[in-house]
Amino acid sequence: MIYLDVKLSSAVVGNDLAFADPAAGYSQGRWGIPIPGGRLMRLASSVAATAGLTMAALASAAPVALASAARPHHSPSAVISNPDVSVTPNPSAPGTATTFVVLCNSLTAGGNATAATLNASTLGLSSQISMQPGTQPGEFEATVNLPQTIGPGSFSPTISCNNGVTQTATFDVSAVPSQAPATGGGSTSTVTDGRLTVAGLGLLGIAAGAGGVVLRRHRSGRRI
Amino acid sequence: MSTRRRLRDALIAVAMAAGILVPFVGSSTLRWSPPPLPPASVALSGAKVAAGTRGTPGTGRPSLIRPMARSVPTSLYIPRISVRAKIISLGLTPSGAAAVPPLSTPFLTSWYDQGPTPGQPGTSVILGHVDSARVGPAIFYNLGELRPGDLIYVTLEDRQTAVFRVYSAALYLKADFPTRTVYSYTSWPTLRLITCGGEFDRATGHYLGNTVVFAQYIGQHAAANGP
Repeated sequence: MIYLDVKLSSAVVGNDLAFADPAAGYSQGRWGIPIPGGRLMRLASSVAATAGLTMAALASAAPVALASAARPHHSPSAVISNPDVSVTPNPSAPGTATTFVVLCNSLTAGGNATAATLNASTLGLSSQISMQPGTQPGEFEATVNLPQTIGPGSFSPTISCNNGVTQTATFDVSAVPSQAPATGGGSTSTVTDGRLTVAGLGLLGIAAGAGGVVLRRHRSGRRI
Repeated sequence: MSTRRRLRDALIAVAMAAGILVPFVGSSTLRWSPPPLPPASVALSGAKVAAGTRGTPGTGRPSLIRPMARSVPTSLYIPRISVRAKIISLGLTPSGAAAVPPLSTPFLTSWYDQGPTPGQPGTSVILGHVDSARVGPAIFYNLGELRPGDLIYVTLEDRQTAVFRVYSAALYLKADFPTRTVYSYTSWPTLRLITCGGEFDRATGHYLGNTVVFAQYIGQHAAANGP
């Protein structure tokens, strides 16, 4: 079975371009999964026949394996804007509860996923965060609090579904000010100036001393 | 010569000196009255809001109003304190504070461009000076007069205008500035207006506190004419 999957997939990859066009004719399989007909079907049949498998085995394996051929094989850059992963909010910020939602039912994998794990080690969190089932089959979500210490930038934690699908959730973390802003020149303020206070006290001391001298002279003059 | 009389004379001399010095020092620094500050009651409500609802406004959100698309803010209008200001985009200073326009342009405000734009979910931040040596009172001199219910209009690059309603105002010590309360993400769009306040430390050249006004997004203003 697994062998057949691999065999079919590798056989199909070689003919990728022939099936990359979504406009190619599809028929509904027994499980409601679109199966491209024509050349691929003939290819699959011949592979299965070579493997000497029964028709039952072909029926259970073919829809998944054949369907994989219907999904165009994108270049790696297309993964970044993967529509099967969403991160909210994006951009996020340190200390913010951030929700990851993934759709694991990719046509490239073997069957529906029943569990998914978020590897948040690049965020400074656990590498094994179990995700909760979402609102539709194959959907999983997890909400994590980003560390207060996380730096600004782009992050790409990975999500592993147990059907073999791995998704990359790329999102941005914005910087948050860590200091109070400096928003004034002080021209209208009340004063707490150490230098002025010291100068004022010094002047007061001089004045007091001078006053004392004057008074003493005054008194000594009066005594004569 | 009695000791008591000598003491009395000394006291007179000190009083005379102080009488000359104090007005002299005072007149050189109090050319303007100090900027208004949020009253304790409003500051308290700010702390309550922050603690009770993790920085989100306590009042009910308008359910039919949708957050706005990201667009850089360009101007600000606060009718209550007659503020009309241009907004420039600035990031962080090397020390990690939100940057502010230079003191030579005391009537410019700045939007913290690493965060959401006004009207987007999250906390958008606009800063302005309270005063400058050249002009005295600056653009946010009267920020501390804002009270819950006052409106703030922020016009964006896409010509839309986001309207915010003040729900709290507070004065915080810079040394103990609650960066989480002020800057943390809010699921509903909120706005923070920040300036300086409290006493000024001439030795460091900085105020000891910050006045922060908290406002929540209440919708868009009719786009055609602006506020």
